[in-house]
Amino acid sequence: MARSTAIAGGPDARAGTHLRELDWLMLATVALCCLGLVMAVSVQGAELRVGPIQAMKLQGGKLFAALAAFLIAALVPMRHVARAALPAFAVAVACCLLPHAVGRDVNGAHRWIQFGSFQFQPVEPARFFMILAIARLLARAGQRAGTFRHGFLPAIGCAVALAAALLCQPDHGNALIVLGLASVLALVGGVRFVHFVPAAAAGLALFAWAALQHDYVVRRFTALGSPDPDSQVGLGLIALSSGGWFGQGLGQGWMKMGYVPEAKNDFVFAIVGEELGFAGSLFVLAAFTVFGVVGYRLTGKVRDPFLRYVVCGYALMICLQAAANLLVVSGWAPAKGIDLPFVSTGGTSLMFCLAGVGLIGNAARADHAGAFSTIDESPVSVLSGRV
Amino acid sequence: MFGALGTVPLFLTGWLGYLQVLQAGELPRGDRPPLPLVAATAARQGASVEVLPQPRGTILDRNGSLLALDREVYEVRARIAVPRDHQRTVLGCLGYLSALADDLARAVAAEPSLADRGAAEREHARRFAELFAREFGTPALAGIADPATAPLPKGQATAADVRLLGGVDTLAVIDALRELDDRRSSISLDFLRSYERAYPERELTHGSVGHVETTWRTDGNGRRLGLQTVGVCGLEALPELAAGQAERRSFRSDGRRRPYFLPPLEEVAPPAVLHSTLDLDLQRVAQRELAEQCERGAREGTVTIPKWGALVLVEVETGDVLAAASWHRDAKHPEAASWTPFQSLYEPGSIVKPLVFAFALEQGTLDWDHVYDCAPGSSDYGTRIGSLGRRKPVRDDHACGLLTPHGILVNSSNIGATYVGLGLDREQWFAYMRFYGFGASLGLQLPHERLGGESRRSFDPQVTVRSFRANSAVSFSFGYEFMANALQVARAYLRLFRGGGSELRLCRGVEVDGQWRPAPVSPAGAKFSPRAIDAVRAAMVDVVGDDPHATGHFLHERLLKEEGIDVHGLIGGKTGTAASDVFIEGRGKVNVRNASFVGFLPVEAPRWLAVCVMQKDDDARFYGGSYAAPPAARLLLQARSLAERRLLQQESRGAADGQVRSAVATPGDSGWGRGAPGTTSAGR
Repeated sequence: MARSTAIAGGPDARAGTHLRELDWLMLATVALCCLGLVMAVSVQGAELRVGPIQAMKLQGGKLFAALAAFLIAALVPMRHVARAALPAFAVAVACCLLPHAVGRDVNGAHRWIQFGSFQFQPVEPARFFMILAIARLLARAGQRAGTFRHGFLPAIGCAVALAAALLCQPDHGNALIVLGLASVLALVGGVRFVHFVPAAAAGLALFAWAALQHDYVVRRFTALGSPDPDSQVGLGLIALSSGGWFGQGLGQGWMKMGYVPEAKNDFVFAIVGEELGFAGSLFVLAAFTVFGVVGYRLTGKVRDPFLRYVVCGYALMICLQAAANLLVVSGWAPAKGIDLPFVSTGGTSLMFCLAGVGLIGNAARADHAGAFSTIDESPVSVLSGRV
Repeated sequence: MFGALGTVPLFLTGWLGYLQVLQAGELPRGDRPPLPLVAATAARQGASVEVLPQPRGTILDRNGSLLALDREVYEVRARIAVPRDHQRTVLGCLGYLSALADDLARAVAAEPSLADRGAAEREHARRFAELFAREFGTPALAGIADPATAPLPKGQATAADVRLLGGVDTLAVIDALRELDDRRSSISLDFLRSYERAYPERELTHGSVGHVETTWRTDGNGRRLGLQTVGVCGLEALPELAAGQAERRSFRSDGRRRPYFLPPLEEVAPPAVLHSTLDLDLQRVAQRELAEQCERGAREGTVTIPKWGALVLVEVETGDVLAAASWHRDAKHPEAASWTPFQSLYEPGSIVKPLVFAFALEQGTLDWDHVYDCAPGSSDYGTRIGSLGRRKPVRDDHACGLLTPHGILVNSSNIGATYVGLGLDREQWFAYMRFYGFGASLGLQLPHERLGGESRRSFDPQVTVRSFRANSAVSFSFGYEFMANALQVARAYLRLFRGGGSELRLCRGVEVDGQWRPAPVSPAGAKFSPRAIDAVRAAMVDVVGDDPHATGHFLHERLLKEEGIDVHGLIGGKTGTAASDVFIEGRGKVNVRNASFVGFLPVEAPRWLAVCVMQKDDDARFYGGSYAAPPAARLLLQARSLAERRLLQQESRGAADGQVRSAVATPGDSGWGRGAPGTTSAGR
């Protein structure tokens, strides 16, 4: 019956479309997660101290934890999500300042927080909660999102606060991604272009000046056009190019054996290209394309502003991250420590990416069921006693 | 935004197709040709080749004892990269390198046999600090003001490939270094297969066996091609011992140069085995006796000690050098000093008189029954020597009277020897020199040989016969005006007893690839008549007698007193004492005295021949009979005793079928079944 209604084009038809698109979204996500599991075994399993079984257990454990996060994000009522958005973001930003105090120094940067053998980058939860916070603020602004005070300032202010915390680490790449993500979300939310352009220009100039104070940033930019064969990007390109049509065979690549740095994280796509060839590379590109297209379609279909911004924000987060990673590995962007969503072995990244997918699904379902309304959740409506 | 993102997969699809499928990309590499981005480039990343050096040959003594061999060890190289967080300040870099030096020293000091580990650790830490000072210029860094905040200067080396250690063969050290390698990601250690030369009896054989040096092999332009180990002196210099061509083994390695898929090692060709003629037991005796005699005076505080000494033992039948001991007074490192039997020249003095007499007998210019008036003021002296117009008179150490040639040899009369020598003309003296090989190479094929020989003017055709007779002929008669080393004197006596053309042998043969290649025993050429040999031999027997005028009576008395052995009739010999001016570096021309002794045993048919020479660079009393003779005689007695003991040991190992091992076993041949008829234990 529902199917016939959908074909007829009624309200249920749009909800049915939501669900079908969610199927495609899950299909792409599961495919990428499976590829990530396989690549973890291929890359980490080759390490003498790990081995394939242990690699499978390690990545399987991370995947289970990420699935738990996915389920929580998919099932928790959206009104609770909306209420927790701002406090959670504040805590996450504070966490980004923690590595300087308690984190360890890795190549001159303090980006990691470590508890025993467990370690994570606080930028992952901060980015996750920033989307929720901006979505919440833009949704609350409603029609006033076009004003500087209620639209631009809160949305970009969140991003600037987080970017400032990240620059303290310093983590220029993620700061740029955060600002870009917030900007796009703000524009989608109705922030006026005229407010945005001068701030973006000034912000970019300031950001460029801060980034270029660091030699390694300058080196990465100058090496962009002609990467050194011994550099991370150069070695990644060598690995990619050795794949041919169908690659050297799963597990048969040799560049992961200490040649391509971070072969299990940032440069896992280079190993995919080496072992699975052009076919494997296309598979990854296709999966993320499907993810992006579905995210775009869902954004257009979800009616509630908050839910729409959530769907748009997380779809953008994952697609931007994937695009940045793929461009770096392909030699078209300066090297930056960004994971490939779902495929890299980083546990925190996997967990928050799947949680993002969970929230996209949750938001789509909530919109379909009418279980959440931004108007109901807005402070004005609560004060006026409207339900 | 989604639209912009949508272009990324489209663009990447095209780029990856170009890169992966068309294989058309490339990486620029500065001045070098760009690196094509193709599958082969990735394959080359992990392709490694290990050079497997081949060992140098082994040197054995005549009984199979090891004298030199290559020991398998590791050479440890390290690629060190100062971590980026330590590159920010000078202090950070210095601190990192200092801590690394300490860590490495701790690992190297894990050697379990160390008595003082702390001291070893400090020494290694100092050595590594010096190494880092060379590679990273740490002294210059330490001089920078405010190192805690100062950044590293531009161009400062932050990575280096260094050779940390050589000759590592202790498991504990290897484990400690590997643990350090795993723990510190900033260094990567390579354990390269290598060989280290070992000399189990170094202090006894450093002269004859020699040593090797590892040097850079360069091309014509002086560019270094690689390290090579070459023998620089002694038997080590023989080309047969050179290591074979290094083999290469291909395998794959990861980014830390850890090997994977190593093919099994091919069976390494066994190194050549050089069997020397040296007998380690006799060499030990020779070295001990020589050192004992040379240092004896110093211990007693009564006499000065020689500048150098040499003691040689030769087997007459084959010319094999059984022992060749060398001793130096001032050598801080005896291993680096010259091998005196081969390289120290001296004027032999009276030790050559038997050679002259035998030659004169053979030439028919000497009547063995003739009586010479050897008194210094005799009319014979005036007419035959005084009339020559020689500047220096010929003197004897003690006044002699009427003497036959036998008596001349026993008393070592220079005047008597001059009468005999003047019977030879210039051509005969030339033939004498060539027959005995003075001034000619020993043919041992060893480097740094000193040939000696007569003065260039001695046989110069421009020199008149009269002048030759007045100077050279007289000097030659009692061993002056020409130089020789101890081995050359031994060869001269070998030719006397065995025949002209006889040569000494230091190498009995070489085993190459399991094939035994014996070194030929030199064929005996023209021999002296038995009459000449017997006459000279009998006189030499009486030299070591109880006659107080015999120059060897001191030896006779001493051995009788100290060891209860009457050597008269047991050992034959001839003493020699010569005084000559030689140039000594730092001192100029110095008058030195040479004491020498040649002895043989048994007297009836000499089997062993010993030559002992010592040189003093002062005017202390110093005679061949009292100083050079005792060690040579003791060595001869020990050689006989050892041969008897070995014969007994050999017979006790007799097999059930009565076969015995050959006394001179051919390498690679067990010796069983080669006994000549009548040499079975039962037969004996």
